Amino acid sequence: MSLSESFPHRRLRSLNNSQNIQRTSITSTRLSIQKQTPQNAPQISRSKRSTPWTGKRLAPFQKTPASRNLRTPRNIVSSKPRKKRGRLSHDLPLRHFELLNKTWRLYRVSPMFKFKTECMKLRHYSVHLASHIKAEVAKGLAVDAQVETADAAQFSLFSGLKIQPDESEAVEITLKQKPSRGSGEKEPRVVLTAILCCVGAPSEDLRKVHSDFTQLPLMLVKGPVTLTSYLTQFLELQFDCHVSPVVFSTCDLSWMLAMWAGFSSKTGNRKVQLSYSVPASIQGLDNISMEINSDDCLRMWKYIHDENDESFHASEVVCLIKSLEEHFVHHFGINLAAMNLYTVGTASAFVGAEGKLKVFSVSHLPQVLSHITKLMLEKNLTQ
Amino acid sequence: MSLEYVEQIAAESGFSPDIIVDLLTLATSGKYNETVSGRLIRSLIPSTVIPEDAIINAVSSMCTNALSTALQSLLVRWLLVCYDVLESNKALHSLYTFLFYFLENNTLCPFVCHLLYLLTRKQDVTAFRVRALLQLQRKMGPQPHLMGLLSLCKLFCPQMVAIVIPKRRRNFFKRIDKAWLAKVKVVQDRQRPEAFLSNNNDSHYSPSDLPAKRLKTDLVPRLDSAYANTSSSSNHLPFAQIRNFNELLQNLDRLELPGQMAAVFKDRHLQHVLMCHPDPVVALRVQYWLDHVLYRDFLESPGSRSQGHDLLALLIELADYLQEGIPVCQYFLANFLHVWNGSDHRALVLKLLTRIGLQEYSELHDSVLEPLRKLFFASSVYFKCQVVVCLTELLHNLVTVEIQRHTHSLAWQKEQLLRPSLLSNSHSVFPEQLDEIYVHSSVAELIGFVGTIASLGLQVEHNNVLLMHCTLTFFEEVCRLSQHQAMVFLPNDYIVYSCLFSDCAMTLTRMCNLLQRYKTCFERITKQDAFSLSTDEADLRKHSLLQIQRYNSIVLDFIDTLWRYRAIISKESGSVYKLVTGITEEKVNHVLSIFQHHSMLGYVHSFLQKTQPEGTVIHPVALKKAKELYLESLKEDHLGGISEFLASSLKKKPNSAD
Repeated sequence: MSLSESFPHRRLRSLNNSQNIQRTSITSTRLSIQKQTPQNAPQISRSKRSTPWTGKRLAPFQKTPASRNLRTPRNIVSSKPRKKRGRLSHDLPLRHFELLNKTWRLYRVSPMFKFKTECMKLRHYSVHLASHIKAEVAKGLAVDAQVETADAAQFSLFSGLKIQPDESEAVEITLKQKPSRGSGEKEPRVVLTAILCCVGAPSEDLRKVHSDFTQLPLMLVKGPVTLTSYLTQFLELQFDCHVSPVVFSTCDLSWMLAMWAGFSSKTGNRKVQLSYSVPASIQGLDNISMEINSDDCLRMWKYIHDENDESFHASEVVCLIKSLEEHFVHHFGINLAAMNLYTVGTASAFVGAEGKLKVFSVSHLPQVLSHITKLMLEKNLTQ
Repeated sequence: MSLEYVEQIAAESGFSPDIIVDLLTLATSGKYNETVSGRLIRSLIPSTVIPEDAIINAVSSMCTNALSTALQSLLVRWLLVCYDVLESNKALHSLYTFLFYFLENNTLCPFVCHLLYLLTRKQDVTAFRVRALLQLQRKMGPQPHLMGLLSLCKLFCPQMVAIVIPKRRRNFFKRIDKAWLAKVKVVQDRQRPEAFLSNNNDSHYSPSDLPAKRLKTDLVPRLDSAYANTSSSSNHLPFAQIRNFNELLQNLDRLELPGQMAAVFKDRHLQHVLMCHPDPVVALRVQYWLDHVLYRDFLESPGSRSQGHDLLALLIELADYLQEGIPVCQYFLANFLHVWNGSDHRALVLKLLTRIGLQEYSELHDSVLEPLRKLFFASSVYFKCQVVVCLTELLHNLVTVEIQRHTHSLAWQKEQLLRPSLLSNSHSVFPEQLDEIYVHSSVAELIGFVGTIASLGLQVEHNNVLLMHCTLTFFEEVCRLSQHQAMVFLPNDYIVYSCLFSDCAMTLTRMCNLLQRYKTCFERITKQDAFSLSTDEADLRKHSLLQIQRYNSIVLDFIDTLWRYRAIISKESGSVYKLVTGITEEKVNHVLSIFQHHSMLGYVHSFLQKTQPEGTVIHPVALKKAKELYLESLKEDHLGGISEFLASSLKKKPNSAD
């Protein structure tokens, strides 16, 4: 891989992998014709070591590092969770469970100007957010009678997510709505939850940010679209940042598959699942999904990856994906490499190309969030 | 008093209030026929304001029924046109009831509606008036002017008006007297220039002016202030309240910056602030925002957003205004050029490239020049020309602006390490950690790079004239810049000799001119004191001095070829002709001289045609007797480069060098 060369230059990062330029424009539009998912998804029973392959699609020019470190810096989270299962609840704060089994929409947030996590300040922001939402809702009242609204907003600290001491604590934002009179409910209903976090970011990235700014590059949101847009608007206006929905490329997703396929499969019987979007020129077929037993995937990964090596290499990722796709070609005669990967499901998490995330296993939550945080930071140009 | 005279005065300077009253009385007296009265009313252009008396006269004469409907409507239109220059609208407002009465008249209705729309206050909206309006609407159907007036009523008293008014802002009233209005404006502007200036100096756009939809998709945020971060002290003035430059100057020390600094792209006043703000955080806020937006628009999902074009245009505008490249753009280009297809937003991307700051050549090469080189050789000749032009501008910017900025900023950075309390860097808006680099050798390598790709490009494109022009422009720029630097770079042999043997007189004369300029450059650096230079520069100077020998051989080749008929003579000092043997030398030598040079034949022909008596057979041999006259005539054809070069390079006078 030509990517594995290291570039000594400081300011402008050299991006040498020029043959891949043509292939990066591969992102084609997704079809919305009727779905025909193949009935018998292949079950991989045998894994074989594949010949090295220069997968241009999986490692395009972008700043994808040649290798990534699987473990988080302080080794808080073990890479072999099954041994520590009994102690999990002591090691990990209970609040982590709140994040599980929910589908989050991911947003990328630029450094926030004068955002402080002190209690007083957070209360201050809560009041302003609530009034902002009220004002926004009032603006568009005539358009839709059943408009999404919220009566109260709350900024609070979501402790236990940060891994490194120089990271700022995660912040949870909830929007609540008072129950309507007829419904009989008494408790206000939570209509939107958002979590701004920074998990396991490389400390050199954190140091680069000026002290007046707070680096919380990842926002997880669960809530209706209109309220989300009000929230992002508020954040942009108040903290002079920019919030944009996350889009994962095929390359990002392949990395996730490889990194998380190695996690234990004991956390339930979930299978490793890959969905590919079919090019628009093929009629009547929307996507192709492939399911593999996670144990098989793990075994295959062990063949490819040296267990003693702490870092993952691009060549290994390419190798894994390539062999899965070769298997598919062998059985179905369909070349998946020509299509875009758009969802990846592993035993511990599910990720969609349009920025959806669902985490299943609490023990892997920090690793998943840490990887996504790093991805968000890699997208900064000034890095 | 003739009517034409009145109209002339009206158009030139307008009338004073007294005369307006008199003229109005005259026009409405019924003495004259309708055409004359109409023309009189049309020429009631005030030099200052319209007095209250005139307004009252106008409305009362309308009520007398002595005037025709046409004249009445003309009077209302006159009031509308001059509405902004009424002395006060109190008098007009007290006549509201009378004006309302005119709504019944179908011809007058639209104009009266407009006038009432301007006059109506909350207390004017009464139930019976609304009822009358609704009745009118029922009778005439939904007319836009009635709708306009009703919408105003609904705004003031929603309980009285039950009809649905379309939400969208609409233009209720048509302006039919645009020419008349323009005339009034011209006269007013002439009379009160200061009023004109204060009106137009206001660069702010008010949010309500823009349609709502536009605001949502607008790329650049508005100047709103952030309420969560506002300091409690009342001393601060929100930026959105700044209306003009004077206010900005007066309140500079107590400004409260807007919540989103990215608004700087659309606000000139904020750009002033960005330029001089002592806190580097201000520039950082812009940079972080840009970082994200550029990534999203160009790298994450290229081509999916149409706003990319606007964003680049805004960036260029800002960089031009600041006269400094924005560092984020530099990082962005380093990423983007690798995926750029060479055609999207080409002009803008190349323009942005010209603002790149100074950096080590290896970095510049990897991030910018290498991707550009690939596109250069894979694209059309027009693209090649654009690239060379772009690199010319880049070189100019680097040498004239960036080297100096870099030196100053570096000095400032060193000083700040010693004294942290030092004021902000006045040479650069965007704070960046700088390294010491060999600026001059960096520039030298850039010149070498452009020379190489240009000569290769010329070979690929068979010496395309446009590309040759761009290349020559580049080397002319290099020559010019050698005033700033102790170095001289000759173009490589391919470029030099394809100019000599080119079939285009333009390239030949420009190369001659270029060689002449190089002479002064070499003279300058030989005289320069080597000890005053930095090591970096001294190396380059040494390198440049080594080129003198090559320069001399080029000049010798040119002179021999163009003037002395000695192109092909085996000799020691020339360089290109050594290999050529076995050709009848004399003929070739003649053919290559400027008297028979294939690029010059057209000019030779026209020169001989002008000078020879009619009927003689024209042949270039005839030139031998009139060499000096021929060289003079070349100057007239804008080919003076050749003759000047010959004149300066030949020790002997041209006519004796045979």
